[in-house]
Amino acid sequence: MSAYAPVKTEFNDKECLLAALADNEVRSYKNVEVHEKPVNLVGYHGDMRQQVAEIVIRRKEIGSASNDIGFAQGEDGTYTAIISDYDSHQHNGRWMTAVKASYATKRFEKSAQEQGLKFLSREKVNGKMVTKYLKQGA
Amino acid sequence: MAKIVTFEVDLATAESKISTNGFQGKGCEAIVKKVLADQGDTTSAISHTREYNAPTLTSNRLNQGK
Repeated sequence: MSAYAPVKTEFNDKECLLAALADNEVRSYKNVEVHEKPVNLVGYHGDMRQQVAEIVIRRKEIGSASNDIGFAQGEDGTYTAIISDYDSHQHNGRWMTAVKASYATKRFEKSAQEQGLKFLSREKVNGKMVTKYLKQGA
Repeated sequence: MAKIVTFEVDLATAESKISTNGFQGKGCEAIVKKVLADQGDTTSAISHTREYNAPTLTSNRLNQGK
């Protein structure tokens, strides 16, 4: 049985986190479960594990020998990633960094739209994702 | 006057920055400040990236004896 280990993150926007999981540079998951109350993660053998999370990437989406991956929301609103030792080889710092980069872009776009800025462009330039918005008038 | 707000995020490190071009007037300054303020939690997430890149995961498991 592959042990789970929690990894604290600063993600606190569910919508942006889901968007980042669905669209990042390393490994994306569009089919992700979202629950009002945390549910148990399921291990490789189909065994229900004690770890619970509101956002769950089921093992069938990850790989035949994988365990579920979860994101559990804490009392402060931030999410803790729950990844098994086995799955941490592919869902490592590189993957988490890609999710964070995508999250940052989604979060900025959400803020910009809330502020009434008009989307201009988004393109990858020299290893950076560059997003531009226009603000009309003063 | 039209102003452009540019957001850049490094895909390798997740570090980001916001820049503006042609912003003038108090109203525009307020908008930029609001966007920057809204980025506060993102900035925190990015700073956490550095922690994550450190061998935190391994250390946790070592501490747990797993």
